[in-house]
Amino acid sequence: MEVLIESFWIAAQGSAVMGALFGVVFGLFIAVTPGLTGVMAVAIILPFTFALDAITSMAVLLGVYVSAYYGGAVTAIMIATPGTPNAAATVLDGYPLCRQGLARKALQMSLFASVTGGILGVFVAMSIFPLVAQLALRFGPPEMFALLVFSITVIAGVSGASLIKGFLAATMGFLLSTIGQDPIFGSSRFVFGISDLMGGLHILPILIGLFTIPELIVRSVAGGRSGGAGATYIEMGPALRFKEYIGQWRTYLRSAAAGSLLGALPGIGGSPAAFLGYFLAQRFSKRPELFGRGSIEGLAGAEAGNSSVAGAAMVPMMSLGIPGGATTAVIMGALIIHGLTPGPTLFATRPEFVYSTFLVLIMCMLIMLFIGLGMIRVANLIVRIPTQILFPAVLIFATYGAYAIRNSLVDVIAMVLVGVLGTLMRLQAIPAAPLAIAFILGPFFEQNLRRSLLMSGGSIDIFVRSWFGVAFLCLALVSAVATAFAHRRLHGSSRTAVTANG
Amino acid sequence: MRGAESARGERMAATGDRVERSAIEKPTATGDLVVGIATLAIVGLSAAIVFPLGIFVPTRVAWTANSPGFFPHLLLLAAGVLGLLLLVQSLRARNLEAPSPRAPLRIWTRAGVTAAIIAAYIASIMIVGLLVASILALAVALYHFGERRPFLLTSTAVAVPLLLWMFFVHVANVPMPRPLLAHWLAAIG
Repeated sequence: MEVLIESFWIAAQGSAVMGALFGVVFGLFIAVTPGLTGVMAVAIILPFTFALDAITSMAVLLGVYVSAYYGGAVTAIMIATPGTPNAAATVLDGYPLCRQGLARKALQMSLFASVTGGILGVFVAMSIFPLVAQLALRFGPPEMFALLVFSITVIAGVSGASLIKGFLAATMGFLLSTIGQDPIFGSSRFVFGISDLMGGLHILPILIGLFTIPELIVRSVAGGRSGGAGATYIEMGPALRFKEYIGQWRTYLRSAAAGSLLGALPGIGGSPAAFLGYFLAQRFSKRPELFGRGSIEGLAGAEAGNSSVAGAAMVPMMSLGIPGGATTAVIMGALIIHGLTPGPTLFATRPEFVYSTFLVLIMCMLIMLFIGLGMIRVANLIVRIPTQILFPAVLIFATYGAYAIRNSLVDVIAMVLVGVLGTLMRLQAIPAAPLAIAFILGPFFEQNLRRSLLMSGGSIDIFVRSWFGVAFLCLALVSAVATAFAHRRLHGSSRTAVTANG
Repeated sequence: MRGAESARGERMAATGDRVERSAIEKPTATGDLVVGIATLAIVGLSAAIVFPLGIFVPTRVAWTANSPGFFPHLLLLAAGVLGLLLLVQSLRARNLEAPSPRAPLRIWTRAGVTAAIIAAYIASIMIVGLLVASILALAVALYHFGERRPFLLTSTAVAVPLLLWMFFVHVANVPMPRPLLAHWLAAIG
């Protein structure tokens, strides 16, 4: 208890609060710009934190880090362009809500769900810090693969009317994820002499191509009129009611628990957690038919899921010295610069610093709540732009974003090619979300599958040799069967689904 | 006004009104049949040409999990099976499908023009650079989307790409691609 009180006073000092405020504002600004990701924001700000003391430095970096989990949602909701990969699942229900004239409600729900999920994630991380650290150590490739098999059952939940089409889209996503360097053997695959493809395709151009370009083409069909009464605008609509927010408490808890579990595993990141949160929200919803058409529950699940990773991803970094991703790697670098070496000894020698870091995370989320509410007011400006000006401008915005990620025109070309694919898919009601999920999970899935098989000499019984593996595969089986039944109940048989499409 | 907007929003949230589909978003069983055939054709083409050219598989690791082709080949197999399933399903569904009116040619032309603008924009980035290409593309796209006021069209077409360019170059320190035109002019000069 004494440690917690000491940690609170460390986190509450003025310089830490100012640092967090600056970090959140800077992070939100970067996150709403497609092409500028959380890791870039943390890397840009890092040199400026060298002169600060350890906790203030952490406050600045964590402010940026936390806001990157939420900021991408604003453009995902308003213009179907995820600002960061974490907002990949947000676009599924956020943008349809915006198209229904409920932009304000969607923006507020995404913010509140993000902050709630984020804070719950930090509490989970703080309370199970030593346990999760030990569990994460026992996760080898077979256990990780079994967990990913469970995660992939999410695809069925976002497949729409046809499971075949959903899995076909997922196969395309997996195939796109194999472009670049082979993760085990090291040779190139489908690179065809283009050096920029060696690192593989980046997730952001894929997401922009998949969601923004088809929207642009479909919107252009409607045309528009120049100004006056003929011009069309996005509507902000009514505000979120407290009852609507609090009514989702089960969604926040479920998504935060799932996100914390995924986030504690190195390398997973926010996007898979967002999709898992979305899937769980759909799985337990009384109105699953609304998902993908503008469900406030879906939006809450996705945002709570991705933000809960923020706290959990700190666990392997702080307790084991294993950064969960590029952003936490930069934060770990900052800690080392300040003479604090993350790892098992950090908690034993500086527990007050570990807990004050988690408290700073909570503070950053609360600051983000107020800054985010201000940002929604700024979004009011976007809705005053007629759609016949907004959507062409989005094309330019998306192109700059796709290019800026790696300063490569290959990413821009990839964005357009995936955009063409996404448009064709949309015309034939092939869902885009399974492709996005498969592309995100593809590298983890392949690496852990092949590593496991290499470890066992090709025998597949390696996946059921540990209790974790058995548990996750059983969970995956239960989830797949339950989802298939739910899908049948929701959409009827496949045949009626196809004929109904006509 | 505010009340009416609010009421509409509440009604939509309650009923889950579907986001309006555009005229070209009308999937049919015939369309699924085309997707099934195209998938099988792409799988065949990939197995015969793209995979052998795109993946180098040393003989000693072929047919093992160590092979770089292990996972892609699994996926190709899955795509083939799914393509076949879609084909069979759509053949069965076609008999039950009622004929539906297709979208008029005018609508398809508009969608085609948008796609052409995007393609021309990306191609022109390499020739004239990101800034100039963006200005030209935005001007054309604004006109295509229905904006006819000359001042607004011109000022938006110039201001948006210019502001983005200044932000990325001067604030985010992103180096912009050197256009082919600059190389050609340098060669002439």
